[in-house]
Amino acid sequence: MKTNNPIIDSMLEAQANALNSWMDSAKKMQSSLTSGNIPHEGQGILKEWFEKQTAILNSMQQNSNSAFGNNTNQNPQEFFKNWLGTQTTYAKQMTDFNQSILNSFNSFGKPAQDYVSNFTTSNNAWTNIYNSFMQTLNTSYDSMSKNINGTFNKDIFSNFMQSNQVYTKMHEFFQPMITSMQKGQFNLEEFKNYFKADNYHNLTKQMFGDFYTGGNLKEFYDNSLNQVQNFFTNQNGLGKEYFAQVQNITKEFPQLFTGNLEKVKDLFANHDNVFAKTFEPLLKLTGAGKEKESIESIIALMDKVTEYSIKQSELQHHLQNTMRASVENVAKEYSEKFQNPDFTKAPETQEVYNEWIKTNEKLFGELFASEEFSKIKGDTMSLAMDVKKHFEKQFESVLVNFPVVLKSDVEELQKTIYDLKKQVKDLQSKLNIAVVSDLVDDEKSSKKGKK
Amino acid sequence: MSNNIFEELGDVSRKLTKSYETLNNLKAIEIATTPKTAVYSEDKLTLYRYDRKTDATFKTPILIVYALVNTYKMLDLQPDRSYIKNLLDNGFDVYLIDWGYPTKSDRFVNMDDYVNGYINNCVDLIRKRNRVEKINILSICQGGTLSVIYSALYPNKIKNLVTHVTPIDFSTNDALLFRWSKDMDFDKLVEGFDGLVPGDFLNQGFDMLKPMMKIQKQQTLAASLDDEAKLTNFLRMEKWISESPAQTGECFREFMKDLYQKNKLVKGELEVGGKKVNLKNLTSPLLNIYATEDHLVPPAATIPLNDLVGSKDKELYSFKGGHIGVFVGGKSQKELAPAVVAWLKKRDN
Repeated sequence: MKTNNPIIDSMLEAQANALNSWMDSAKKMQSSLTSGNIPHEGQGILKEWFEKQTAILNSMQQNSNSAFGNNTNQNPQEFFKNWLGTQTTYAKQMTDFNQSILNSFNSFGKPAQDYVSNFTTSNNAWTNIYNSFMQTLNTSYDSMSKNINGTFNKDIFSNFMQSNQVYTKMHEFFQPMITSMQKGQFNLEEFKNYFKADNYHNLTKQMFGDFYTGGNLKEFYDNSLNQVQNFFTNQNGLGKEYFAQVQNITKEFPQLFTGNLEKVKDLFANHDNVFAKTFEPLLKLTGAGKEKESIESIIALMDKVTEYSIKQSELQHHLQNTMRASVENVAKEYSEKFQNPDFTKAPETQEVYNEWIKTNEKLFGELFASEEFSKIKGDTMSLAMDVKKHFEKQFESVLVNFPVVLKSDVEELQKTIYDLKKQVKDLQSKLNIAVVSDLVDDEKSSKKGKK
Repeated sequence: MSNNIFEELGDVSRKLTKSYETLNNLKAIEIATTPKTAVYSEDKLTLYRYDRKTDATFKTPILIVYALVNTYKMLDLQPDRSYIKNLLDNGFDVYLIDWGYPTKSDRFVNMDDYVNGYINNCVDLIRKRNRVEKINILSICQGGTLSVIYSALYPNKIKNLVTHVTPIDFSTNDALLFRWSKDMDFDKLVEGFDGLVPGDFLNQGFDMLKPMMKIQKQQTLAASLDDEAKLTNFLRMEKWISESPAQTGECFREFMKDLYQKNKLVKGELEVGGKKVNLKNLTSPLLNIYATEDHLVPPAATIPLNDLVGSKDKELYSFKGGHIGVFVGGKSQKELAPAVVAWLKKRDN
């Protein structure tokens, strides 16, 4: 396939070649496994595959070097460097994976622990592959989407990419189940224990990204903490216990949304207790003034952010629990089929995907229709708006000393303009009605005249 | 180890590459191509009159009043699936209100402005241009709610009223939107969005009503990549969704609080521009269309209208399908449009 962009063409060609060589290697590996020749042929297949990958990537680099001069993309060198780096990592991980498969089969006949340990290594290797694959999707295709003509087409491609990421993520989830069924062994309880909260968190976030907006909270906490710290340093360095607690929170931030709701609640409750104990008496002692007002406002904002974070965590918790239930439901369904002696063929991924979609529709539909979810969703939205308004108040209090027009001033002006427009329209409308009525009455009179 | 797993990952990559190539080479998607002429504008609103090659065969013109959510273009998605073209081909003189794209300067525009202002001004203009005392209103969804309110306030200007999938009774919890709205603080939401509720925010809400729909749609896209006609049909709908305007804060606030939360219209408590809205004053012939599988506006929200109005000539039409299917499906062109045309023809004396 050809596009207008030689860099992209070169990349697409390399991608296709890399894919084909990967599949070729996998087929050879499969053939070796079934014929029992893996101990002899396995290493040779791996070596051949790795050499092919390296050759493909090197060839792409050479082809693209000459195209850089004609490329009008921003930072093409950077883009290509990132892509190449991702592909190299990917290639290495494929090698590690194939090696782990080899190790699994070399363990055949050895104690169960060895097999389980190698199986776990294989599955971890699979996770690495999926992560690499998704990173490739994110970097390569994200960059490619910038070359698509038209904003609308770009958005369509981006949505399509996102859905494929969901498919791949789901694939990652169910692969251990499918693999173990193919080998004639599947244990539902072990499958359930295989996943940590992080996995459900990531999959849920992929599907319901609009409910995951905590990304900037850490930044906010860091900035607010600095401001509050500076204020109290000037007031003789008070509030150590509070700072320690907030630092504890910021350290925990990446893990806060992995679904351990009780931990989140405890963390924020401790924060609030220490906060109240530390600051309220101090604020009473500090003299009144703009600075104090500003700090009080920041502290009120941090309070609101805390409230919002807890509520959002509750909402995410519901989503993640439902996702977990959905995955486990699908696994249970296949586990029951697996018990049937007529079950001879492990399911295809597309079949599992379709079943998972159907189960999600049912379970998430039930969740969304519940009174509890409706209430949490409403509360979360209200708190988000509160936080936003508090932020805006902060901005205005900073900008008030500068020669700029504030949002609140513009809103006041907009109201005045609206009221004036309405008065003008009312007057115009009274005039127009008279004109229309006259027109219709004139017509009636002229008809009477003709009789 | 099965080759399927490798092939599937490869398949994902191939589909993405194919979609990239197809989308990059596709011509621009066009919707709402039936020719029309702008005859009036006010603030962000434009009133269009659809071009006719021959004179209209019916005396009473039609004014289409669409919802404020999304755009009217769904009624004219493509030449062979166009509700509007259907009306034109059957001899009607068709006008349409394009509400435009509100900006923050429109944040204070409220229901009074829409009903007693914009709609009333358009109706008066059409009456003047066509030299008629009364016109037909053909309304959709929220546009139907506004039209019902208008028709109850100005019954002397309405010849016939047709409502499609119009929410009137908000006491039901049969649909998620109705359920969720009862727990939302719309004052905070409107203030939080600085008086302009984004179209994207509303679309996110609509996506949540069928949680897996967004993902399932992408499977449709994947299956259509090799079929240009199918792909174009799919993309036309996506284009329509992508062009969602924002809602003015005040009107949104009133609509959600007074109707969704307090159900004032049905209770006879609604006031618009200082005028009490009494549905018994709506006396024009009424054709009230509802969709049996409507997950946005459930039948329980639409059907009660017929028992609340003062019209003697009133009909309820049950369309088997969903909220959007009422307009874009093949069944809509073959069954619903002809039924509406026949109903209007009969009352065009």
